Amino acid sequence: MKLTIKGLMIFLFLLLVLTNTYIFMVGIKSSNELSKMETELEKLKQDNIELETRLSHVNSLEYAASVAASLNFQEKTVPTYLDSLEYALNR
Amino acid sequence: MFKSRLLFIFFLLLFLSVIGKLFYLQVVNPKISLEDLYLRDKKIYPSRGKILDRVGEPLAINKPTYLLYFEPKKINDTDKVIHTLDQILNIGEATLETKLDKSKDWVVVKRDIDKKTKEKIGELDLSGIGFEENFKRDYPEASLAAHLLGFVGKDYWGGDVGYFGIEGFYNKDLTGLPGVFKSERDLFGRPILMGTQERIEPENGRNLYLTIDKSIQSIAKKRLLQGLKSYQAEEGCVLIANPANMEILALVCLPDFDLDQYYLFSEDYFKNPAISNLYEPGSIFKPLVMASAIEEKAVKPNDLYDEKGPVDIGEYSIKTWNNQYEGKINMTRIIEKSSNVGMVYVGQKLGEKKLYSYLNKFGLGELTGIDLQGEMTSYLKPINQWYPIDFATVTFGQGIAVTPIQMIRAFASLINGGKLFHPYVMNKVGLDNNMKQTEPRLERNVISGFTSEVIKKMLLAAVDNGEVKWAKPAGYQIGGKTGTAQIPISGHYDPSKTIASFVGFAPVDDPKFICLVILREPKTSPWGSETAAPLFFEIAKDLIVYYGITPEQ
Repeated sequence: MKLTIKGLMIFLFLLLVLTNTYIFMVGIKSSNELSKMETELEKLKQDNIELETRLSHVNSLEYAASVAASLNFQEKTVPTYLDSLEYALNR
Repeated sequence: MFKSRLLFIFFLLLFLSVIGKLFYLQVVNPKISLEDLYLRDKKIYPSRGKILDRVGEPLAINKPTYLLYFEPKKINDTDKVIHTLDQILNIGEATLETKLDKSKDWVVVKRDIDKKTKEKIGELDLSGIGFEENFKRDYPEASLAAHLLGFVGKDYWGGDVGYFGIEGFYNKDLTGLPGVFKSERDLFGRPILMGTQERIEPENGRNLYLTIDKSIQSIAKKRLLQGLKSYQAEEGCVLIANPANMEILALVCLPDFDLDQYYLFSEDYFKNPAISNLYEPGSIFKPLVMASAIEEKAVKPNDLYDEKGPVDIGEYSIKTWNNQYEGKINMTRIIEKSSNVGMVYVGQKLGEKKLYSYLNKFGLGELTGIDLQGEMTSYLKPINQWYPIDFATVTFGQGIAVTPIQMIRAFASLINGGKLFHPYVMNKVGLDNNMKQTEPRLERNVISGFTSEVIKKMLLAAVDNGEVKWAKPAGYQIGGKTGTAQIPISGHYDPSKTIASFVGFAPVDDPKFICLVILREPKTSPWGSETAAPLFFEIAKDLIVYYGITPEQ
């Protein structure tokens, strides 16, 4: 009887040690993944902001003007103003 | 017995040492606690709100930058660090050596490093250096609206603060609130899952949607730049607004400054002349006085005035701009030919008290309340301190100082049915779907709708029958008034130095825009009619095309 209890205690002790080790390992693995995800999230945020900045620049009038200048496309279409307009009145 | 005593003493000493250490950690030096060793406490900075134009096109956004720092005590090979960093950053080995003060724990090396440079330095795997992530303002449209936007500088503690313009006025809205990230970490920097993991998200700064139209701002700036070159003027401003509610569509003054490198410019460049500079408006002031007189029924548009010659007020003699006199002319003609003597007559008919009261009603002695930092106003001295000559000269816009924003606001009230609004540049503010719209703020009614219609017709006549024929787009009804004010220098007016201006609007029936053009000290001609007016018509042509306004006549 005494031997059975002793054996059970040793078994429980070993089980606890193993469970603890397992939880410890899982914890470290999860921590590593969490760290990795944090870094990736940060990187994604940075990339997002950077893309937004680049998009804004590409969409700007400044950029359009510089591209137009590089293509030698600078002449603006001049509208024709009608001297004695007898149609298409707005009133 | 001896052995058990020895064991007892051993354990006693062991416990005493544990208690002693606990006493040291918790009482003598409580800062060094386990929590401090493992708990990482990080402030999460909010991103500054964006500034966008009325359709959501960005004018000021944020881009990530990095701050490079030394931890001098952790640097092993000083020479290698200095030499390698100097090759990449080009800030001088001597400078780097000075910064590498071994007595300090943390030293800033360089701010605003871009991502590529950061990665390049990071690959070198140098000990004792690190990066801190920051954000810097980025301007996709460069300095398109420099005075309007203002810039983001640093406060005493190194934090971001907006100065001047929108950045200054809405600094609190744009700044946001920082968040906190608390995380217990092991010795390798990995989060301890059973420990504290707390994150309070920052509240990012609110985004501002302006009333400014990027395209109109671009038109105004391009035309003003051309105007300054053509007329060889020292400075210039163009203000364009919607007269119906005084939302500002464009506001540009030149010379301005580079928003990205504002620190290279002196403080004088930061001041926005459109809201901070006082000037004598000259003849563009006349319609205000004429409208007041018509409103008070002191004169009617067809009343006749006998323009015989100069008018003497005390020891002063007031003449027309060309010293020519037409005899009997009506009120409309007084505005058309911009007759100073005619305006003195109108002022006399109106009476001193009423004239003074209308100056106040048009908001000339008060701030307009525009939501930009740095607005100034003139002081309208009490009526009992006015001399007869003051009442005479003010009728043609001399002897009184106004800011361009005060002038365009007062003028807008002439053509919108008599309503004096607070000008504003912020259309809506907020984040995502939670936006707060700015409502136009009516200050008071100055003149009636009838007077407004009468004055609009006078201003149309001033453009059509004025002294100079301008290249105005055919088929369109455009109203406006020129102004030329001499600049007072040491108590006298210098006839060669003038401020030329033109204020105009179109279409006359239902004005879509009002535009004030001011040129300081143009060299090609001192007259507003030959400098500011042609520039206005260039802008008006562009705006007519932009708005797709159909011809009226």
